[in-house]
Amino acid sequence: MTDQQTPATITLLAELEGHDDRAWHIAWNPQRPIIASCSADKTVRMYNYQTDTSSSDSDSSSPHLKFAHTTTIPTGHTKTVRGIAWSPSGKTLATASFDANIGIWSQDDDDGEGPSGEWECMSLLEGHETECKSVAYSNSGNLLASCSRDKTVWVWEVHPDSDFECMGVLMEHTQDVKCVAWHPKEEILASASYDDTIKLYLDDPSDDWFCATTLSGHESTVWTLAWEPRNGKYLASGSDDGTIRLWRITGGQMNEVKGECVASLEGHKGSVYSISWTPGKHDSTAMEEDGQERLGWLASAGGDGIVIVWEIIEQIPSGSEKPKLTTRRIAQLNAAHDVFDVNSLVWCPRSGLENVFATAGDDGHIKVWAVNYTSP
Amino acid sequence: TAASFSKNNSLWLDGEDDQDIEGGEENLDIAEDIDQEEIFELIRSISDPEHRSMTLEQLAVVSAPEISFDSVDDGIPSRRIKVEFTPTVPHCGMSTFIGLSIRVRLLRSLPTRFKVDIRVKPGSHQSEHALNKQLNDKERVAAALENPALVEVLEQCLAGATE
Repeated sequence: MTDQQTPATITLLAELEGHDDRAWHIAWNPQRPIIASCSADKTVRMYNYQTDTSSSDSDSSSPHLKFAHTTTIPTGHTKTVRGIAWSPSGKTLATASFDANIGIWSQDDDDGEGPSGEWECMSLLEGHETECKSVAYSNSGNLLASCSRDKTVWVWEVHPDSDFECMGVLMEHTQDVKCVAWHPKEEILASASYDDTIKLYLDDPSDDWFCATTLSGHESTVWTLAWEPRNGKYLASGSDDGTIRLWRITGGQMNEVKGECVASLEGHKGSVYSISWTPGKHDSTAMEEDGQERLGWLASAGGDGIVIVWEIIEQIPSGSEKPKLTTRRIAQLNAAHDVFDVNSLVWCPRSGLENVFATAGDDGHIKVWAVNYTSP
Repeated sequence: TAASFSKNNSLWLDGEDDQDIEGGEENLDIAEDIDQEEIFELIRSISDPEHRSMTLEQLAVVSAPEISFDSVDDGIPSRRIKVEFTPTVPHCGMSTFIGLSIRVRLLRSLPTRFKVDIRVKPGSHQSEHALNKQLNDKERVAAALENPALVEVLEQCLAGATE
C-alpha cells in the first residue's frame, strides 16, 4: 500500500480493537509506556506496551512492540469523549467531551509505591456551554487549555490537588474552536477554528490573556495544529481545504508575535483532520549539511484515509535573507483504516520510539505504525 | 438501553455485512451494484420536518437526477456520493435538519465504504455556503446526533422513510 517512489515505508506494528464506536483521539503518555484512546462510546481505553525481545525478525529498524489492554475508564461523560491529553508528568489525563465538560483523571497512589490503582476523576471542569473539542497541557504542565463549539478558548491554571483556576476566557473566534496547541517552550497558545483562522494568545503579566495575532489563509475549517517540536519556530495547520500550511512564528512573550505562511503541503484528497510533528530519529544516514537544520517529520491524516509523512528541512541562507523550508513527502500509506476516516494521528514522544506513531479511525480501531527509510 | 441508544446515534452502520467484506474485487462488484435509483429509494420517503404528511419527494426537495457518484482513486474501492437537495424556499430554516436527515438515512443504510456529501442545490438557499459547510462537518454532525431532542424529531421524519 505504500507508494513505491517514496524513500521511507510505513509498517503496521499493532492494531488495537475494543471501542464500540468511532475512535476520535489518542494520546501517548510522555513518561510511561501507556497509550490512551477515546471514543464516541464515551470510554477511554488504556494499553501498556513493551519491546518484544522474543521476536527473531531480522529487521531491527522497526521496534517490536507488544500491547496489552490494561483498563477501560467509563468516564461518566454523558456524550462522546472527543479529545484527551496527558500532563507532562504523565500522571494526569484530561478528557474533553461533547457533554461540555473537561475531566481530570489520575491514578490511586494509596500504597505509596507509585501509581498503580484505578483511574479516578479528580476534577470536572465546567464552564463551556457546548461540546468541548480539544484539550492541551502547556510544556510546564502549569496551564491547561480547552476549546469548544461555544467559540471560546479557556486557559486554566493547574494547582496542587487537582484544583484548577480559570485564568482567561478568550472569545476571539467567530465559530467553533476545533483545536488548541501549546508552544513547546513558551507560554504561547494556538487555536484553530471552523471560522478558517488560527489565533495565537499570550499572557499579559499585568493583565489577562489576549489574542496576539490571527493567521488567515486557509479556505475552510482548520481542524488541527502542530508546533515544530524542538523550538516552536513553526506552526503547522491542517484544514478542511485539504492542505497543510506551515507558518513561521516570530516574536514571543517579550515582543510582538507574528506568523507568516511559508509553505503549503498538498497531497490529501479531503479534510486533514490530524497532524503531528516529531523531531524524528537521528541516525548516521541523515547527516546534516551546512546551512541546514532538520526540523523532523510531520505526519498528516484525514477523511481520505491517507497518511502522509513529510520531512521538513530549514535552509538557513547566508546574509540577511529569511530562511527557506524544504518539504518532501517521504512516505505515504493509503487506506490506513481501510475505508474509514482517520480522525487522529500522534507520534510517540518517548526516546527510541521517535519513528512510531498511532492513528485512530472511524472503525473504532487504534493502529500503531513505524516509519523507516528504505535506502540510505 | 444505552447500547441501543448509542447504536441509533452511531454515524455508521453496524451491519455485520460490512465486516464480512474484505476482498477488494468483491467490494468493487458490490459498489457497482448501487445506483442513483437505489439511493433515491432510500431518501424519497423521508418526511418533511415542517409538513410531516409530505415526503421530500412530494415537495421536490430531492430527486434522482440530483444524486451523483465520484470514484475515489485511493487504492481501495470507495465511492463518494453527492446528494443535492432543493429547499422549498431560499430562506428555509429547516434546511440543516433536512440535510441531516438525508445524511443519517444514508449512513444507516449504506455500507461504510460510501462517503456522502450532502449539499443544497447551487442557488437554492441564501445561506448555501454555511449550510454546506455545516452538513459536511463530521464533528458537528456527530454532536448533533447526540442531542436527544433533535434525534427524536429526526427519527419521526425517518420513520416515514422506512415503511
